[in-house]
Formats: sequence, C-alpha cells, structure tokens
Amino acid sequence: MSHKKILLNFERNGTSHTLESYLKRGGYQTIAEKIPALSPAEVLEEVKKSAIRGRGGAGFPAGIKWSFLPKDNDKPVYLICNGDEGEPGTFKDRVILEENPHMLIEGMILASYAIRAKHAYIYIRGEYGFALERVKAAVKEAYETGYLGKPLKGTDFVCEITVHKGAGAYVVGDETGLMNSIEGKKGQTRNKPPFPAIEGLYKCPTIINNVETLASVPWIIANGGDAYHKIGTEKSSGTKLLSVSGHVRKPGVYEVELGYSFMDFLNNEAGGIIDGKKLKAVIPGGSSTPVLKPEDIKDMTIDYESITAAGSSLGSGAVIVIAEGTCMVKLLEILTHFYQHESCGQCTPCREGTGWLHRIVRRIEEGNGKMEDLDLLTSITKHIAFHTICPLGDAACGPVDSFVKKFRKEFEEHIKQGGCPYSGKFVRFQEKV
Amino acid sequence: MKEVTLTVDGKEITVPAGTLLIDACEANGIYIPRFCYHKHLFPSGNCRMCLVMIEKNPKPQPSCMTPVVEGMAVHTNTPEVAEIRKAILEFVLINHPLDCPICDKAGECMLQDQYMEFSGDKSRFNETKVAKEKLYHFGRKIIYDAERCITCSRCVRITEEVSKTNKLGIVERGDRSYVALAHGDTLDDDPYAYCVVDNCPVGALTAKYFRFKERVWYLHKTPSVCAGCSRGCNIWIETKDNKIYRVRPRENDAVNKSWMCDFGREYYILPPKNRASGAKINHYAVDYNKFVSEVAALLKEHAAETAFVASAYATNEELALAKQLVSHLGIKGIFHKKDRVWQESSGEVKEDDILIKQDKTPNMAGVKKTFPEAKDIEDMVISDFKYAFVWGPGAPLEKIDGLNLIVLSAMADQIWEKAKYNLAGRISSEKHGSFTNFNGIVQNFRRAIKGDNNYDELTFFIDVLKEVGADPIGRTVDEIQNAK
Repeated sequence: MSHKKILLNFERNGTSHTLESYLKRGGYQTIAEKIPALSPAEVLEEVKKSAIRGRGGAGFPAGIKWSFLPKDNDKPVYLICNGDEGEPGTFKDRVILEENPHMLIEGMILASYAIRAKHAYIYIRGEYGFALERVKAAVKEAYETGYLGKPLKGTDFVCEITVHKGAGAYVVGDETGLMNSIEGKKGQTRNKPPFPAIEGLYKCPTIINNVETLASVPWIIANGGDAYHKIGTEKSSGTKLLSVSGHVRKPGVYEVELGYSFMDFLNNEAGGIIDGKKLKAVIPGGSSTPVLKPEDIKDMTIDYESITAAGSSLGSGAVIVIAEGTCMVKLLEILTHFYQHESCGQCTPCREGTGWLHRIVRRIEEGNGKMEDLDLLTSITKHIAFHTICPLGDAACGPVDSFVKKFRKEFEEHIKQGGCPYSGKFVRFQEKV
Repeated sequence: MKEVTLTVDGKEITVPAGTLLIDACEANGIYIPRFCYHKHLFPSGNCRMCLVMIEKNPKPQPSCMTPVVEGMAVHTNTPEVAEIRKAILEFVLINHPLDCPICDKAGECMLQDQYMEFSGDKSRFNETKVAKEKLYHFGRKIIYDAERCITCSRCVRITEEVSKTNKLGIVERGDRSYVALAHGDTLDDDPYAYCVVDNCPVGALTAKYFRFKERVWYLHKTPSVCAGCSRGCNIWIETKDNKIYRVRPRENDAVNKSWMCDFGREYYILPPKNRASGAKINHYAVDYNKFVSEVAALLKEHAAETAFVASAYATNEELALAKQLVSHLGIKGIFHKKDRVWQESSGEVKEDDILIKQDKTPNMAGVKKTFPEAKDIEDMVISDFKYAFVWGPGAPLEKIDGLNLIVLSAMADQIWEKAKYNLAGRISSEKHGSFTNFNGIVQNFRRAIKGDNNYDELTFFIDVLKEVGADPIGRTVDEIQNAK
C-alpha cells in the first residue's frame, strides 16, 4: 500500500533540510498565500476541522487544546514545540528536526498566528546535538528571509522563535516539566490544575504541542482541515510517523496513514522479523505502553482506537518489535532501570517505587526471585500509578503490569529455575545482509 | 468574606473561599496526614500523603493543592484512601534507615506518628536500601543526614520563602536525590537556619547544639516569648533539670507564624556569660532584706534628686510596680535606654522585613506605655541628680558617671562594677510576666527555669513598696494584670 506522505514527502539527499530545498518543494506557501486571507480564528478552525490528535503520546486533539486559551486575557501567550523526545524507542521527531526543520517552523508560525503567541520556543532534548544544529540553522535562515522577526505578509503579526536545548531528562517530556526547564528551574513537573493553557510558561497561557503535530499544520492549512480529516480513520485522522526498532529487518522511521494494518506494516515497511525468527511481542507506542502478544495484534490497525482496544496505546508511535529468544525479564529489568533512573524524585510513590520495582525484577532475573514477588510487583504498581503529579509513575507501571500479566510463565520459570533460562544477556540478533 | 460549603465524609462544612482542602478539613476536626505541606509555606504537593478522593474525580487529589469549591464532596475515610496512605508510608519507609533509637527526632517525628496512626503494617521490602551520606555539615549550626531525608522540600522552601536566601536545593534524581548547598556554602549566614530543623518532618536535619543531648520526651515545654528583639516571637523553651536544652518557635500567625531567628534562639541556648549575682552594698554581699530596707530608705530620702532609669527588659508587671513606686515617692526624673544583653556577633542581621527588629529589647513599647513621660537617657542633665536607680544593663556609663548608682540588673557590666548598691535580677526565661511587642501586642510568658542566686524584680519592687509604706497593686503577675 502506498501512503500519503505529508511530513516525509521528499527524498533525503543531504540538502533537504535547507530553506532552498524546502522552498523548491512548495514550502512557506501558506505564509505567502493563505495567511493574508485568513484570520487567526479561521486558522484555528481549520486545525479543529482536521481533528489532528496530539502526536506526543496522549493523543489529545490539538485544535481543542488551542481553544482552551482564555478568551479575555491580558497576559502574553506562548507557544512551545515539545522536541524532548525521550520515550525509549521513539526517534520520529528527530527525523523532522534534522531533515525537515522548515516545515516545523512554518507550522509554528501558523500556530503562533492562530493563538496570537507573543513568543514561540522549540525545546530540543539535550542528546539531539545534530538536530539542534540543524534547527538552529533553519531558524537563522527563516529570520534572514523574514518569515520570522518581521510582520507576516498582509498582517501585523510577528512570530519569534527561540531554540532551547534541554539537559537530558525524560521527565521534561511532560509539558509542565518542560516549562520549568525553560524557566531555568530543575526539570520537575508541576501539579495540574492549573493547566498550561491557563497558567503555563512564566505563569502565562501556553500552548505546547509535539514536533510532529506542529509540522502537520502547514499541510492542513494548505489543503484544508477537511482534506486532512479524510486521511486515516474517522477518529484518528492524518498520517503518523512510526519509529520501528528491535528485531526487524528495516528499522527506521516510516510515515503511514492511520488505520493501516499493523501486520502489513510489520511485514512490508519494517521488512519482517530478523533472521526469520518468530514474533514474540510488540511494544506499540514507546516503552511505557503495555506490551502486546502476537495474538493481540493479528487484526490490529495502526490508530488510536484499535490499539487501545487491543490493550495498549499508540503513544508516540514507537514500535519496539521483540523476536522469539528474547528474555522478557531481562527486557523488563532494562525498562524498570530506565524509569528508576529518570524518576525526578519529587513524588514519594514514583521516587521510591520505581527503584523498588527495578530491584525486584533484577532479583528475579538473577535467580533470587520468589513467587510472591510477582503479586508484589502488581501491588506496587497499583500504588504508583495515578498517585503522582506527572505520568512518569503511570508510565513506569505500564510495562511492569503487562509483562507480568502476559509473560507470567517466563517469570515463574526464572523463579523455579533460580536463574535465567536464556543466556542471561539481552539478545542482539545480528543478521548478515 | 465569601464562604464556601462542601461536604467532607458526609459532614457539611463551611469555610472561607480559597481555603485549601487540607486546612478546611483540619479546621473541622478531620486531620489529613502530610509531610511536605506546611501551613506557612507554599504547597508543593510532592509527598502525596494527603491524597483524598473527590467525587467526580477519577484520580485521588492532593488536598494540599486543592482549593475548596462550592458543593465539593470529599472522602477522607474510605478504604481506598486508607490504602493509599498505607502505601505512601510503605514507600517512604523503604529507603528510610529506621534508626529511630538513635534519632533525635524520635518522639516527635511525623513519620513515626503518622505510621502509627495510619498504617502499622509490616514492610514488604526485601531489597537493599539506597545508601547515602549520613553526615553533611551545613555549617556550624546544622547537620544533614541524607538517608533519613524524605525529600519533602520543606527546608528548601523555607530558604526560598522565609529567609529568602535560596541556599538549599534538591540535587540528583529519583531515590538518589538529597538536599544540598552550593559547593562550599554554609547555612551560617542564614538568619533563619534553625527553622529548617524545626520543620523537618523527620530527623534528617538536626541542630548541632541539640544533637544527641536529650530525648525529646524528657523535655519540659514552657510557653515563652523571645526577648531577643522587639518582635516578641512566641517560643517554647524546652528544659530538663533546670537547664535549657532547646528553643523552638511557637506558632502565632499574628507575630511570627512558625518561625524565629537564630540570634533569638542563641540568646537562650548560648546563655550570656557575665551574669550578675547576689545583693551587694559597696561591693560587699549583704542580706537581701537589709538591701531592701537601705535602698527604700535612700530612695525615700533622695526622691527629688534621683534619676530613675527604666529597663526595656522588664516585664509589664514589674514596670507597673515601678510606676507605683516612683509616683508614690515622687521621683520626677524618669528615663529609658536601649538595653543590650548579649554582644553583637559577626554576621548579625540588624533588621529585616521578615522578623528581626532593630530594637533588640523585648519591651520598649511597655516602657513607653507605662512611663509616657520618660526621656531618653542621652538627654539627661547630670547636674540635676545625685543618685541614679539604673535598672537593666547597657546604660551609657559616661552619662551617669559620678552619680551614686543603685543598679538592678541581670548582667554584670561596667555600670554594675561602678555601683554602690547592686541587686542581681533575672532574665525573662527565669520569670513570669508579659512583654508588649513593637506592634503593641501584649504577650504572656511563663518561667522556664529557676533563677538561682538572683532576685525576682517583681518581689523586689513589692518589698520596696511595702518598706516605703505603700500597698502594692498586686503581689503576683495575675493580680497586677487584673489591677491595671
């Protein structure tokens, strides 16, 4: 199946990130042609019509998010592009930041115009050095050409963008944590309410969207919200970037229309399982989404509803494919260690609980587990999830619950044998191409 | 003020709009456990101990971050809430060292108390605890134990919001996080540093002056008022065997909220060295009764040529008796002075907009109220007088040198050495009474320790009054207060 390409509609040839190349493929047309005729409310209306859902993980409709801004407000409004892509397995925003930064800038100009933002920020995670370089260069180009820093054609609106580099914390991917980070505070999340749309960056109304969401806005404005809504399914419109990693032949980032069959995606785009192995499990939306077994994904399609129905979540679209021969306990040990390491330490349940989970799973993997540990794990996750300020606690519990539930036999084997039935190391299959 | 009505556990309560749920519940007799929440600090909502269920809300909500809303239905006693509390306590305790037998906080520890009240369950934790540094010196005053710390951030918020020095912060992440100062920094120049010890819910922050000195349940707590400056912070003086072990602020929203400054505290815990003692005439110890009769006779005879210098360390009741004495005798020359009991220390804050006042005496307002006619001792014309009754320390010697001095003071300073008649008085922790603070608030305090070798000023004035043939307006603090 050939897919409509919105975000990756070009050949990556080493110059595709430049302004010249972007203009050649029709870039910044919305600024030149559409903006003079459209009011901010009309831009917002188009985005609402497109029904595009936030691509960061939670899937909240972007247009509705924008309309939460207070109507009579005398404070400045801020727009933030969340490029702190930290969820293990996710690397789809990186492609936009590195290869198509001008599309993101154009989307941010349109979004700023729609919400009348005084200033916009692009927050890029600290580990993305190359992406940071590319985005900075692109922003510089946009300033030099006059898309930024000067009134848009036919209006008196000026868009300003600042690129901000993170310092490397998973928890800053949460919107309030990211705002604290921009403000120069420790990357720790804030209690909600107040929600960012009411009181966000510098206590001013703030809209924060994922890179992929904002980069989709130019296409929506150019072709109309209805055209976008026609792509994909009724409730999950548009295209989605999927970053595939794990035991597949062709790991990488692919753009697919939502509603595409998952098995087809796995066998066609991702090239099937490496070494002709059998599929063991799939984590469909980044490490915090519950794991799925082959029987769960047989009829699953790639959209928000179908994956939720299968018992997981589309999340950020980070598909982690796990082949037969992988020790799930070892994999869970690695995941729990990640959450223990990234817990910001603010809330008691997450600060203490993530470390506890990791230590129990490690003990099971090392062969010192007890049968009652399995119930203990689920009992701990019950008290972490939804008892913390931010969703990191919930995220840490997703894999633990689902691994223990779906691969309980494997955990029991570890406990009975007093050790790992596999090699004890995390398997990295090597296929000679 | 607008009021809001809500139901908590089926009981309807009405509180002012904007009240936090945790305070609304507490004001109506429902205590919600907490670690990070402190009434006088901005809530941070991170300990999650105060989670309650609010109807129409699927997730439990922190009651310290939730303002009351009209018609809100809150549940604090459901099995679900009880389970959450047990779980949070279990989480707090998994990496806590449980060294209560040697912890100074034991007996008044919020973690101990709330564990006994809301959990009591056995821990299911079977792993190795996270090891951290046990001995961080936060300067000369305070020691920090990172293992006991539950990172509630109260101390961090105190340095942010109370002393505004922003000295403390939480570094590292997750279960490795701990409270730290900037490299090489100390809390020595934070004038409110001991407040972080008072308000630490566990024994992570301990004061060096009290560390390992005494178990808190043996201490006798006496409500008192700090005599360190004219703010009059409400304090608890904690004693055992006639010795002050610890001084802590006593909550009073109108005066000092929950805080007091370190200089005030050190005024008690590092008692002044040059205390005066005994009754002396011409540098020879005499019997107290003989002293009283001689001084009474002298004052009676020379009333017209005696300058009376009132003490701003005196209680309102002593001042009332002194007032009765001077008007009975007809003493006209009445003066006040700025007293100073303890030496200026380096780094001391003269005045700030938090608590510390420039006037380092506790009762100048009381002196001015009792003796409105009193003049500053600096304006005294020495040739008008032959005698001076100097009450309290710190009078400028050069002003009154050459007069015959009768000194009633708790401190042996230069004036004390020059005096012909000496009577050692008491400091505020050794007597009952009341002070009037700079705002005109009159605050009572009780005696915390016995003043050995010293004489109570109140009794002295009563005795002198009787000696000169007057009937004192009262013989105890209560009687004098009622007489006024």
